[in-house]
Amino acid sequence: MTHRPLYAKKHHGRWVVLLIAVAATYAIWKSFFVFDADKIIANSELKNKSFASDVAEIVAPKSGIKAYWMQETSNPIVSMSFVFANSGSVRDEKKGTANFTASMLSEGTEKLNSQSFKEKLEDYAISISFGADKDDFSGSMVTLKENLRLATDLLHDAVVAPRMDEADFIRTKNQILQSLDYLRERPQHRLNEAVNKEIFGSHAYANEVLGKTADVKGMSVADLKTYIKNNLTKDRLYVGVAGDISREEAEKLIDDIFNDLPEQGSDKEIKAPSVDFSARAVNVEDSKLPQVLSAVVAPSVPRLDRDFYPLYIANYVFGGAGLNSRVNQAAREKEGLTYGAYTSMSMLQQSPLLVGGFSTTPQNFAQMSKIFAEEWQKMGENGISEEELASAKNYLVNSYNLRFADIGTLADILVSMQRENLGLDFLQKRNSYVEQVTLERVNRVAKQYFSPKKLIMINMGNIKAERN
Amino acid sequence: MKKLRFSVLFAVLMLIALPVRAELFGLKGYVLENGMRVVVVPNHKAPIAKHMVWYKVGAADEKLGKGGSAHLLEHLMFRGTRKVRGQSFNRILEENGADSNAFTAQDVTAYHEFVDISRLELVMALEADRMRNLSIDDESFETERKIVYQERKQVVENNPLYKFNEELQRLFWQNHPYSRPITGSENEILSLTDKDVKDIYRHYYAPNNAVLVIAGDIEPETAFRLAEKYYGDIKPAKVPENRLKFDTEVKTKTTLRMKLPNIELPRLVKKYHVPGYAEAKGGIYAYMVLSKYLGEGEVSKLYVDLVVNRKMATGVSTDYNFTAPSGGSFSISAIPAKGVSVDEMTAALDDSVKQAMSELNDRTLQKYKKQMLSGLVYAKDNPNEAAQIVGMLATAGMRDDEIENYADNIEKVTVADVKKAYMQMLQSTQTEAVVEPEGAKK
Repeated sequence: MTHRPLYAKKHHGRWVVLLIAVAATYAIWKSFFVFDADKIIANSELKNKSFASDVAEIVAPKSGIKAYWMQETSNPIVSMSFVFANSGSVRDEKKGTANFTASMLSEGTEKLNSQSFKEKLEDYAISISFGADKDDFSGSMVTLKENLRLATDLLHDAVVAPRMDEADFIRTKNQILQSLDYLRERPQHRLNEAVNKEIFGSHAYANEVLGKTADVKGMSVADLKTYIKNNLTKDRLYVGVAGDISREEAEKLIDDIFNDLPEQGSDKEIKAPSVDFSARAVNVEDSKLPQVLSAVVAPSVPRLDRDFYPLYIANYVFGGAGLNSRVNQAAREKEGLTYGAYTSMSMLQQSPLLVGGFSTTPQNFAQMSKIFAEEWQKMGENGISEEELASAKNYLVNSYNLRFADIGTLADILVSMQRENLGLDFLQKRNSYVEQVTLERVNRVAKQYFSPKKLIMINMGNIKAERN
Repeated sequence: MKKLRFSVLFAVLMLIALPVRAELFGLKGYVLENGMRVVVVPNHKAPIAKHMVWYKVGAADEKLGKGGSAHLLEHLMFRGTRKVRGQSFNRILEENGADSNAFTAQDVTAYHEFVDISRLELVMALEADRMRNLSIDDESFETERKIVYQERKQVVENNPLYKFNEELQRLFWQNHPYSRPITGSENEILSLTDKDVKDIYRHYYAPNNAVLVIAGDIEPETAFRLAEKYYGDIKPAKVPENRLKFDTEVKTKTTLRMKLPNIELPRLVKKYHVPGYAEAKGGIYAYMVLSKYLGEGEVSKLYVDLVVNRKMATGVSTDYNFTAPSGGSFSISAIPAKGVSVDEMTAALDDSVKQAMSELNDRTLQKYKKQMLSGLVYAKDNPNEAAQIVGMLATAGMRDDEIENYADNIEKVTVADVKKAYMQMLQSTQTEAVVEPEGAKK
């Protein structure tokens, strides 16, 4: 009798030893060879938090200017960004006027000459800057809260009473002319010029924001003053205020800076360019370049189009996801043909485009462009998979908070929410816009926009060498 | 090309360009038992964090003829470990919304992830894993070597100035490893073997040769505990002795003159061997003030004199690199105005520097020092930037309190300090380099 239990016990003991051995092997195997990301996140002591992104619309009492405002007090910094919409280079009479004006607004005010103005900015760590793109004229101010009064006065005077001394004007002109020379040194810029010419032809979207050498040479102070009178006006102004500033202070700030601007400027209608998207390859020979640089262009949708988010996701999967994008997986990670390929959505107001590019040495060029075209076709024909959709949504949702890294960017976001008509609740709703996108919608949109019939490739470099 | 990774050449961030108070970042430091230094910059604005692991190894540690191996290793670090196989590293980061990248410089290689705070532990686990478990298979080695070859073509050689930049480095650094390009030359890249990169990984990728920087929504104590949890059990390694310093005993003055096709603008660069943090320690602040005074920004002396008043140049700037452990450098660069020859530009620049130094007095010095200190709070507003600056200073060897006491150290600089620094610079080994468009008349 005692045998059985003993035997059984012994028998059982063997199993236990075996089980322990198996479990130990598994544990060792696991600790050496298995990485469980989900478990790490689930056991993480730092949990998800949402960013308190309370955006309010405020109204400046004197001027009636509406703006978006977000209070964020972790550092004593105040930031304001603004845009004068539809005042960008596409509306330039002389090419380069908007950009030239942007440069000259930092060159002093009626009260302070250029050097005194710049010294004040340096002495008090105030940043005031202006810029132009094809659609809009923009500006920003970043200051310590303690210097807000001074920053306000400086920005007010820069916008309302810019100085425009002849000597500063000539110096700035020479610097812009040299910037144009500098751009011509850059192969990527020369490719962009070829792209603009091919896509926009004689439409003003084809022009470089910095302008044309002859036009910049011929620019006068009077040209800039006319531009200011017609464009820096309340009727097209969007303002965002972020940082360590109360609602009342923000409202007053806006009045103090902008109330003296004219109510209305003059509008210049710009027709949308009629782009011929029929598929083609355009080659620009340049035998001296070490690589062939390529750009791709295809039609896209405006920001508020119902297809925007589906196309955004399709683009992300195709060429927007960095090394994980399909095009980088196929051309870079698998074949080593290029340092990188990408696509993105270009949001020109009158001509939304899907754009992209890559570069590779001449002997790889044929294979590289073939892979790009094949992936493009596959995207149109088959769309994306459930897994790809889930990955894209995960990235877009999980990376959402990264945009709130600094106060200056917050103010920029507030401006673009208004400029693009995204609504006051955009920051709360944005992740749901992403989540709602269905596979069916993405694939329908992919079929339409990733069409081999509408894909333009513009290549620059030693293309003949590869053919011979 | 916004999302492209692995930018080789990273601009030297200048602390001096930043707009402090007593404490620059409010950082806290800690050292794990295995020797890994941890620096935390708390920033509670948004629930996000920047995580960076900086290894004190770069292109300057490569063996002769093995140029590009540190950089190729950086690429291969994304190609899988025993646990996180193949492309999984990038996939996991993507699923979790991380923006990740890495860069290789002469003295450091850094890996970084910008993440939602709920994913910070995940990236710590991933980064700790690839500190010890890297696995390199033949296929991914071959592919990645092709990619870095293309990277050199795209990022370096497509720039029509690259030959000038590389020649200037070569002449200036003479026989020191800093004279060689970070990417390696074309031939070196093509001849690299997996042994070359494994050598660097084995010798230098160890906790006692790394600095961990975390900037973001986290308390230092939590960060230290997590650092212990994820990195604490990695064994230290015997790291090779520091490489040679640049030989400054024999002083030389060299000149480089080049003409290049496809460039439109002439450029002038004057470069001086001056002590960096490794040699000068507290002496660096005088050079920082000198650089600010002479050529940082549009109210600096050289800019006002040469660009605004005399109209000899359209741009002029200075740069002081103090973080390179083998030797610091001070550069003055200018672009002559149209119609001004490079010889006229050089003469005017020398003259302008002398004039500026003769005008230096307590009052002007105070003014420029105040500018350097007026907006230092900006430095910690963005966790990305804070982590980058802190990582670079920490890997250069600066202690936490030295990083924090930037303002006090700048305050202490006197006119005599700046003048002494300047005199030392004039007597140092130096290179004057000019590049002009091909076909330009003298």
